[in-house]
Amino acid sequence: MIDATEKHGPVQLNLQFDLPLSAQEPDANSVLSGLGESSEPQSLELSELEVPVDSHTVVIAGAGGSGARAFAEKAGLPLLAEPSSGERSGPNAITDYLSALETLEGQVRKVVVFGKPTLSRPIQRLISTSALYVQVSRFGNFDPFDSAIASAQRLLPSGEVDAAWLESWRKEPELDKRGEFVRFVWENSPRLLFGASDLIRVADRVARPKEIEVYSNRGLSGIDGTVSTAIGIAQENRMSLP
Amino acid sequence: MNVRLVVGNDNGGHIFSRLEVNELLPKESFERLFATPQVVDLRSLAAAYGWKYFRCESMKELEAAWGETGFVLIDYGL
Repeated sequence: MIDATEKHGPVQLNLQFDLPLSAQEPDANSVLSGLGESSEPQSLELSELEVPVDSHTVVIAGAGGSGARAFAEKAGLPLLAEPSSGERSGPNAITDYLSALETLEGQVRKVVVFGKPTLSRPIQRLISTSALYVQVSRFGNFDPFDSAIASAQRLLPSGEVDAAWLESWRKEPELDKRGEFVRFVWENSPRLLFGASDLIRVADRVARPKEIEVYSNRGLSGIDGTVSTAIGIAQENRMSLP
Repeated sequence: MNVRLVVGNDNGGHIFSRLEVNELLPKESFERLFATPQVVDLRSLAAAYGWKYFRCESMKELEAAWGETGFVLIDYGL
């Protein structure tokens, strides 16, 4: 139990209850009051790693991908950030990177991954065929093909990147009815929870870089409970509409 | 509290059109086996939970419904 409390993330306990299924001892309130507030781990030593970057490198951000935008901007690299990454903002974020990939995929040799990207096949393919560096996120060390060269809790870029590399990624999507609809919702919401289906993939092509509080159950592979999640977020904020 | 549920309503199943099977099967089989279009009366669902309901067929109607507050279900026809 002591070990468990020093780690983050969900814990599953399989307990079997004995009859009767009700009792007054121990009292749940007194048990819980003894636990106190959970605290951040005290002895957190951040591992740091310098990643050599060049004009064949891209930054990928999935769910839990915080730090991706800062890394990409410091390095001058294109940022391919999923809509639910929370990092799809700033001058380096590419709107329709999936279309851009159709022509540029062959030029990518190195990817720096933040969080857990799961939305699209082209990104998975890119991760599987490129030299991979990973920043450890709340989802751990994302290395689905067991191919990472190195990972650390904090990545820092080193090296020169040609500005033309970033510019070659600029791509504006063509908007069909779906695209127009999704873009409207994205641009008119200060806070957004995506359902886990088709429209988040439309957003992956059409959502322009924007600072937005964004959620998705997808990072947890959750499809059920989307409405409950939305109500929970609304309760947390109790905001009025802008 | 304000919660806005926005449904891009294509009767569901559109996500499967991204799979290879969409190219392999005749349209009719694909619809029957994968897309399995659903017709759900979201207006009644919203009423059952006491939510406001707006059916929108155009961006103009969507913009008009966007100003509503409280518990709002927007059903946008795709």
